[in-house]
Amino acid sequence: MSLDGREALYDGSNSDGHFLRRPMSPHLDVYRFRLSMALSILNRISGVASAVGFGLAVTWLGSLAAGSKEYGRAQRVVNNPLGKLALAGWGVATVYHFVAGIRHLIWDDGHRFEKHQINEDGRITVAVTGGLSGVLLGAVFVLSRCRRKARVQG
Amino acid sequence: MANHITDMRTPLARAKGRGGLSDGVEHWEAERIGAVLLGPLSLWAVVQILRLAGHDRQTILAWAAKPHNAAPLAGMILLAARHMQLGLEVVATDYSRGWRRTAIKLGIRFACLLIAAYGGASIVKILQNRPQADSRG
Repeated sequence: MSLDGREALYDGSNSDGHFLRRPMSPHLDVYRFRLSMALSILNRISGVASAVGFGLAVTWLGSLAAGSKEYGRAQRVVNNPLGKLALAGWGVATVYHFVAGIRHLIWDDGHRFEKHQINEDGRITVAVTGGLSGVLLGAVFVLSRCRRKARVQG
Repeated sequence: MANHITDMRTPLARAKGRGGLSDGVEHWEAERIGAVLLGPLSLWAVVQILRLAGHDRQTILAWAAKPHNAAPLAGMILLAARHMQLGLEVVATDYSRGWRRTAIKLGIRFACLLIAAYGGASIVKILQNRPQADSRG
């Protein structure tokens, strides 16, 4: 027997009192890649990303309330290419987290657990996320550009 | 290492009477309730973002100063802060242990509380500074 703490967890005994080595549970790297794996971890990653973005959004709201100088500074960050990229990333992450959240609520209700359903819903999730975030981000960027242009001219 | 039994009790007997691991289903349930409530609020927020995108500061301030906009905005900030606290706590519980876990969880709680408080304070400030023409009576 090993002194490694993790190894110690493999030591077990059956009901006769005989010692035996428990089977090692399968790890991530023994599986063939499946879409559902990526979507599963992406829900967590997108959740953390939307949380970070939300913190930034509340900071933006704070600068809106603070004054025109502070607001101008925040707008410079938002309109910077890197800021735009972060905004787009936040949008995609939040849209995905929203769609995946609906899936989780359906699972919580005990539905769509069959293998073919999970594969089907996974593909739908990717399509809906791509379409929805594309349309929304496109609309936000086009609208803000048009309105800003109208403001400058008018 | 010698394989001798130091504890004659069965695993079931050892597990019994210790209660749950930390809490029951409350944390999980609170996360779902927050998610369900955030659904319609997020859709509302998307509509408002599309309405306000590209407008100047005064227009956005006038929007936020209306109670029927400020109220859902405040509600969404509180719910989102709570939901992200719960979600980040789950992540922290999965990937850390010991004092590090305690520290990370404290940090998450503090950050989420700060975000909610800052959002609330900002809305209060916007409501206080709204144009006086609106506030007769």
